[in-house]
Amino acid sequence: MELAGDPMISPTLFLQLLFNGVLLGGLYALLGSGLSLCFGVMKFFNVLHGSLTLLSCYFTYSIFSLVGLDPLLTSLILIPAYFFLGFFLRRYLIGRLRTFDDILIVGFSLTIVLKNIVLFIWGARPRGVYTSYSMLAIGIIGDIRVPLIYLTCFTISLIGLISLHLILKKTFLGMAIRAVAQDPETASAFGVNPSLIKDLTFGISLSFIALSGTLMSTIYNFDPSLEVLFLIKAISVVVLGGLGSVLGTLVGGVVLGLAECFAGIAGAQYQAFVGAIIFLIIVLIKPKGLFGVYAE
Amino acid sequence: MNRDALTRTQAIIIVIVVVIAVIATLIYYAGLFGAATTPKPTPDYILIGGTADLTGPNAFVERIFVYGWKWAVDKINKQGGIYVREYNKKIPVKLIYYDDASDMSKAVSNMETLILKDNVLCMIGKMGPLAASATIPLAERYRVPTFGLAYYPDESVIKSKYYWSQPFESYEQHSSVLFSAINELKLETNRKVAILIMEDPLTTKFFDYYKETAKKYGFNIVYMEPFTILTSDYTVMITKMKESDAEVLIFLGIAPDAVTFWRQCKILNYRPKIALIVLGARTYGWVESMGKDGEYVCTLDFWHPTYPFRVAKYHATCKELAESWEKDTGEKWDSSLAEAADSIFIFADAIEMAGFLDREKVNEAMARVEGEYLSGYLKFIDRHLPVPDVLMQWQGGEKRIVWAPRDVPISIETPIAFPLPPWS
Repeated sequence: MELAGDPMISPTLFLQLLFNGVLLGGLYALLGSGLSLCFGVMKFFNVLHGSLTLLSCYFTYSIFSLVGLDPLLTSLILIPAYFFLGFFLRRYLIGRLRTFDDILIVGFSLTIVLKNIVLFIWGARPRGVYTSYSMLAIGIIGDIRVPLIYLTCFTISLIGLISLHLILKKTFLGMAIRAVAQDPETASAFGVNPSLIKDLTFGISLSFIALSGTLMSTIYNFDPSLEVLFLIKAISVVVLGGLGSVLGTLVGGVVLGLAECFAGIAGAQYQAFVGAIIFLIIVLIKPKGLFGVYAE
Repeated sequence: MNRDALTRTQAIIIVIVVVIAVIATLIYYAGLFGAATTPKPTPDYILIGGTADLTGPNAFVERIFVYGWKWAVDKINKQGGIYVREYNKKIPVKLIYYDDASDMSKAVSNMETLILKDNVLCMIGKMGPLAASATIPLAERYRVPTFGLAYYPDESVIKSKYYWSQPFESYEQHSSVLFSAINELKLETNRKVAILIMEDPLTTKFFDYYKETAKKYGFNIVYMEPFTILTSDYTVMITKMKESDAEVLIFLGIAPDAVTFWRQCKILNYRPKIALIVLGARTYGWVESMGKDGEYVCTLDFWHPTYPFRVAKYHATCKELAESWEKDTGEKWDSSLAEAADSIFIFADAIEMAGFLDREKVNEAMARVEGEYLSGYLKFIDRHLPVPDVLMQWQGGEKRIVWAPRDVPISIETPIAFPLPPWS
């Protein structure tokens, strides 16, 4: 459909797409990390992931609109709030459900409830968080411009993912989480309380959802229908990277981000298509993802 | 003697027969008279039915429709209702509507309930061509006049007998507004146009129309491409637009895409001389999401609270409708209010012209409806109500009319801001 323009991409455009893809990928990785952790440890698919991410966007929007608090600072409120929400949700609801079918049914029901809460409070009109730095860009190498908000979100995502990696690898809690993920009964024999660890893991998982929602709200406009998109992106990242691997999640996110950005060369309408093709290829070649850990 | 007695007996018999005949005749005619003059019971209400998305993805728009319907019904009822010749009196209107959450099967089921259970006289349909295609068969099967929002009079609308649609004038008019405005306002550009259109059954038709209208008005489309809804990165497209030196930009997409696109335009420092963002910049959510960077972007719409049109019979004005909405909801006005209110006023006029609460007669009367409504002077053409688009521009956080076709009798109070100032 394109009528004019150079079919070859210039080095500047290539580098611009590379930067955009990597930065966007970092954010996608953060979006997928909560889902990966949840599935890796508790072996269930959190269908609430998209709805809770969207809810975090709306909370950020409301706090920003009403109090004027910077969206990035809002995450300092939402992260602990979501942690406790996750902890108690796992302890008093999800943990009491016997089968995965029950968890799925309750999860989908809660998704509907959350969507209607969003509609009731905020309505269906698209919302957005506009800050003084939302549209600033830093000029680097020639004409390449890096969006400040993307760079900030990427940095925060990276800090979040490294923190998660360190928690899992270097702390007793992380060891306990990994032990429960591999064999809850053996972990229990060594004095670990699997139920408590799962409560904490779900809390941590939701904290990452809170953070990714806050960051997403600064980049995208959102409306109640976006929960599905958030969930699909998170699933794509997790499946690409491999369940339970922080490094895998980061790689999965970056692959998805790069695929979306570079697919624009073929045409804007192919962005989602190319992402889906890469997803299918990796699933066919490596069904457990690029860096699957807990899938064994 | 005998002869006299016989005469008396005969006389008595004759008198009795006559009396009986007179009484019988009186009873007979009294009965007929009574039957002819017993008034048919007047219905308490004229029922109009509707289905709308109150909880789904289109709830934002369709809740506005419901408000517009209710506002118009309230206006009509304040004047005592709609005059129905059959009963020689005014009858109030009652609106019945159900939530369909944008689920077409639920919408169809709602409409069947409205027709078969609630026995509505007429129906207000849903928005968009998909809804129209789901609704038209129902309207035809049950022969219920249905006022939908198909946006364009395609074959199914033209061929239907009971489906009436509004308010999009035509693809030609819609795609020519910016070009006409640039020419008439003598805005100086290099006449190179870049166009991005989201892939959607309704919007993809614009590719051909934009090509035709650009040629007709002396513009050169240097870049034109479709994109999928919720695209995350527009770098390639924006870079190509810059390379093509396009000074006129047209973006047709929903709000989340428009916001992402326009933000990336700033990040990549692409600033055309004039930018038209159709759909995405139509609502006040645009300035909320974009702040000052959303200023001076143009958009298309078919109604504004400053329109001078009114429905005199029911004392309904554009300004009052917008103020009522803003007061009740705390949100800014939207043109969907007018199209919704107009659909009720048009039904009211059709019912009054029909004179009977009969679906066939009301449907026949719809074709004769003509007059001033909130969206302008309206008349059906091919079962479709054309309402022309005007060019609006965001200035000072408000959407202002900056250009209108000559056949739209409105005054333009705000000059267009041109060219777009450098990015803030």
